Amino acid sequence: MTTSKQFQIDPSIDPADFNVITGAFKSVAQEMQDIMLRSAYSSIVREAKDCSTCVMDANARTVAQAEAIPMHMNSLAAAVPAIRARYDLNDLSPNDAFITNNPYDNGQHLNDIIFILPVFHKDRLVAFTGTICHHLEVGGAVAGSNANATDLYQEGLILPTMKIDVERDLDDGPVERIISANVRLPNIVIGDFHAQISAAMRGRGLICELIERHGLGLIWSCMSALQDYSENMLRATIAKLPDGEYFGEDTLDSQLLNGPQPIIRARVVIDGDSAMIDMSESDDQVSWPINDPVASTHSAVLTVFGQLAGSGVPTNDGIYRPIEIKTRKGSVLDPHHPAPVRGRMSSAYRTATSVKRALAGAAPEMFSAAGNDTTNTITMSCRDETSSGSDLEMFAEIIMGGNGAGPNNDGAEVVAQMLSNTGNTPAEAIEMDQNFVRVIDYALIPDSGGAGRQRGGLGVRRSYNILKDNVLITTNSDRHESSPWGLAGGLDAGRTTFTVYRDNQEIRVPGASNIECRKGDRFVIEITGGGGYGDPKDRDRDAVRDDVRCGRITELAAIEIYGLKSLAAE
Amino acid sequence: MIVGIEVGGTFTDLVMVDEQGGLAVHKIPSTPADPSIAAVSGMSEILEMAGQSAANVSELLHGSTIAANALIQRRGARTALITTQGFRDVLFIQRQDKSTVYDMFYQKPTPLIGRDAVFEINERMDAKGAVITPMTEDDIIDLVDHVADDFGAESIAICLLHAYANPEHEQKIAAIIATRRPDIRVSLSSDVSPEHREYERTSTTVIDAYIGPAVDQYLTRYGERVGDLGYKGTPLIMQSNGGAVPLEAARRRIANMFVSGPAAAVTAAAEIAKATNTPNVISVDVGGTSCDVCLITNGMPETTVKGTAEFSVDGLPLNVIMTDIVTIGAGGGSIAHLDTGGMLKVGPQSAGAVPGPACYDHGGESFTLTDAMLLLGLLDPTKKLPGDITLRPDLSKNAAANLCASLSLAPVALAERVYRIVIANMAQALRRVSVNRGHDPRDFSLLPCGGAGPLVACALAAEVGMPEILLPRHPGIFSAYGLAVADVRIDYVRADGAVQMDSLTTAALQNRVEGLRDQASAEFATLGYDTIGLEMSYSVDARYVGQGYELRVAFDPNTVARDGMGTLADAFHDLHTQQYDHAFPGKQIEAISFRLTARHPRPALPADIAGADDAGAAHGARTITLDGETSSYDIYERSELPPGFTIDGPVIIVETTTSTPIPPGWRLNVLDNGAIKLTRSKL
Repeated sequence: MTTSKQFQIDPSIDPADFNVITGAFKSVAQEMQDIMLRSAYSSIVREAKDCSTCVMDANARTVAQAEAIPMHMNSLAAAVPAIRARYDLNDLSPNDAFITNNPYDNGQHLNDIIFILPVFHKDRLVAFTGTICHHLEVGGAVAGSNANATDLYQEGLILPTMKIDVERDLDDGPVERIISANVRLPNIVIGDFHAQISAAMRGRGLICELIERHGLGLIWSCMSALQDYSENMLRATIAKLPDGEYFGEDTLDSQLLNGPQPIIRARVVIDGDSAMIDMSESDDQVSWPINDPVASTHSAVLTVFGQLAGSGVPTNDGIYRPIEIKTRKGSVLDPHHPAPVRGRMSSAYRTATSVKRALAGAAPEMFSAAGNDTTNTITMSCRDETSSGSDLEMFAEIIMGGNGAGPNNDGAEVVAQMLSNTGNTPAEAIEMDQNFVRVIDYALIPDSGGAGRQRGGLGVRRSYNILKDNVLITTNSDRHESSPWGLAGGLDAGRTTFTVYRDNQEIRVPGASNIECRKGDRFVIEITGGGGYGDPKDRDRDAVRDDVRCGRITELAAIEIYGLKSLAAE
Repeated sequence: MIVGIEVGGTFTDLVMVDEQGGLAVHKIPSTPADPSIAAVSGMSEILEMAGQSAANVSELLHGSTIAANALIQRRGARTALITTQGFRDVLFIQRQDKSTVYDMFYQKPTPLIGRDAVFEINERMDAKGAVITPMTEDDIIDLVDHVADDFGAESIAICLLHAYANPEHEQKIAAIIATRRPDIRVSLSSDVSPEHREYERTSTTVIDAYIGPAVDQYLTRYGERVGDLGYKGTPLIMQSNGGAVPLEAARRRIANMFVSGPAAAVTAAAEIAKATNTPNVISVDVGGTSCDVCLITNGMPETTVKGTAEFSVDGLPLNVIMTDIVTIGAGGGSIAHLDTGGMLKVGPQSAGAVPGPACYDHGGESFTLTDAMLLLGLLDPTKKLPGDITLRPDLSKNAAANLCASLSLAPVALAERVYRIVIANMAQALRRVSVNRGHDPRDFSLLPCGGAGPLVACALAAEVGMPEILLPRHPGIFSAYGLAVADVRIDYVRADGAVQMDSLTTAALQNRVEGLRDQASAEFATLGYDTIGLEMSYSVDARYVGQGYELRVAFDPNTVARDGMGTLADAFHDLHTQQYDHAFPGKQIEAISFRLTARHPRPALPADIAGADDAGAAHGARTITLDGETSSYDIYERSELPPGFTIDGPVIIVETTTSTPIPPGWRLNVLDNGAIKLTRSKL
């Protein structure tokens, strides 16, 4: 808890070189990201930005990563040990590349295909570039996320960690053809896959240009110094937390509602400028797809520290160094093969919220309350029978709830939560591309954020009218049976519900569901907001009145929870 | 005689060009409460200085920050939004993503209106514009009365779902407002931004409605004032697309007025590029706090396409065609500092005009780019700056002391590094406008402008590998000069739903082309222009079916009619390859928006190079450190250099508003029109 320390860069590097060259690393990653986003086919990539790019050093340790989604913070680096276990990185040729989507080789879930490309300069391995991209469809038992999967094989095509030859295996080669043959939307998946490869190739060219310009020695020392720089910044952040051992827990939804709810438990030890996070007391792995592959558990923990450090700390190998993470094999956060993992964002979010809760208990002034903190993925597909067979139309979108309030701010309403930065898809874009669904409303829900001196951000309702038969909706969500917690006397937020309206029936479904819909159905999701911060009775009275006037809270809540005496200004 | 008036936040710049190309400039403080006051008093002053009267002014052009100021200061009208039932919260939900990913306390950009200002109407269309839920007249009347009388709206934005495909419902509501409350200004999304994606369209429409009344009143006042002064013609108003429109047309395009100053500078750059047969240039406009970069190919500045540019003002999306300028926080006032990790950084924080760089002696204590340039010898401490500012190197050295101690560097060594970091930051911006869009910057000339542009030009060109620099005349008043040369330009769009390219017949394309052309001809005729001389350029925003962002493909309707639709598809595949390194030649393309840019060209200005007969001779020399080399640079006055004058660096060219250091390895050549070409002799 001291004032921040001023660090120094390796004095053998000129300060202008360090700025200019490390800035170039970031630009390379960013240029790769731009290529991927702009040429991608699927809405999940282009609108949800569910993809990441990075530059790695010759030992495949991350140097720079485009600021995309935190869940991908260490996703590319995590895949490297499995590559090393099988292949000798010192025996690569320029046509080699690595590919995997295997959660049990430190991948994420099957939709996330990782592509890593070695960079050669004058026949010497000098660096790597990597891209990871969430693909809309990867086969498996149903189109979209399969809520009923009981093992990995039902979740889609598994690409083990493989060394491939980019000339031989891609385009019309065997690897691309296997992918193409195993997914329901080969055009879109291959389109996105090509965007991923183009991005990695562009990065490779750019790194070679940098080496030509500045010399390999200087490039390598800047890579290493940038990792040290990030490490220093993160250590300074950890040092601001009080030393000690802290505990936090949070709860996942049951599979079918009202069943047993897995509990995630974090034990956090802060010791000077390093941290140990022990997640091993978390519950055992479960039979449904919310198990969290260990790489994804690590990303979730790191994100909490990334948020604490704020923007400006380059994401690279250096930020992994001050943090030790422990998990227990066989737990929901480190499952045994082949447990299903498609909905791992739910448990990754609970990992993050339990770690954050432990730390927020120790230093509430440095944290916000919990947000909706889950991903609400809605995938819809429609199979049209035609004379020549059947056509599948499909889209996926991710709808977010509200943020938790902080010590000095209300939580943002309906905003990408901490592990992601996914945008929404405009209703007009959905309806321009699809003819089987119409978005009927998209509206803030009053009182859905936790009350507090600072109010939790509101959640949202989105309703879809189904216009055709044979529509399958698959969902992945959480917080239907637990509430985002308030902080420092702020109240918890509400809960999420998913409901199908059919004829005169109202059918509530669990957060992770496969729902077969027909023409005339309406599917309504109501996502919770974030927790409040501080005692609601302390909230500025004019702010309470403004919330009532603008319909963000009800009059009843203003009077009963906030203790407002009169709606008229005093 | 042409007069251009560019109103900035601090100063109002005026430029007057006579029939021979003779150019006079004038600068006075702006009058932010009513910018038209300074505009008009400046105009009468510049006329008086030249012994002219307003009646002799043939064309009068005006660029203003009034729109941006009204928005940023949130001083717009009491504005209501009418939208489709179920979509009240589009402005507050926005696009859900964050601009800073790791910010635990993230706050969204604040919308211009509150949630209590949004009203829903029961209606719905589908993506093809077919009515799903019709409106009832009673509903509309009740709502309009409620919004007008109970809410008290002064201005109403109407943005209904899918109105880009069918504007009928929006127009019906507008008609009822017009009969019941003709005093209320109405903005329709189908007029302002007729393209899909509801948040961006709603935001644009609300911006138009919110600032509309204030800007409209401003334009009226301005028109009256210049009329009172004796100006007989139609005042032209500068737009964000780099063109100008008559005042009456500007009223209908309020959302197009946001970046007129920077756009005018780019227009000037394009004009110089054309005039010197250097069609491909990158303009770099560097002032006190920021650096604006724009790519110009074939004499045409790039315009924004979705997905390639930040379309926003104060964080709020603005979906109109704008000159595609990338802005970074790098300018003379940019502050050098060490971050907590020990990295030396420059900007984006700026010392601005107040307190300014340390060497100004106005209380600034931070070491800025200007201080660095002074220590490097790029600025002359013996010459006062406008505003009676004496540059003091001793104060720059004092400001450098802490950084010098932390980094164990001498002041000049620190200054070199600060200068180099700024150059690298600017080079990244240059790469963003060129390499990221499939262009090689080495095929372009650098065109520096703004007070600090020429000071960084050679270093920046060398950093990016550009072989040539085109140094325009009057680089310090370039926006005002841009006004004097801007074409009258209006952009039209038709985006009534996605059309698959293989189902689009040449007849159907022709139908769209004619529709746009008729619209343009009618408007220009109404504005009093001869439609014969209009230059029409067509383009289509297209994508592969399933992609989310479009590429803008220019086409010539006659060529497509002759050679078939395949040429359009081929052009799209080529552009995709150019930008993304790959294409999908077998895949279906869909056209989203058809566009027409109609321009009434203004004649090129004659070059006035009077007074350039004196042979250039050096006025002494200065010691300058650039790129690690310290040399003696001979000093030349730009106004004394005649066309055809040639000299090799190291020299420094000085003029009233800026200086251009030219290191060894560069050759200077004065062109016939007074522009200077710098060529790298060693690469």
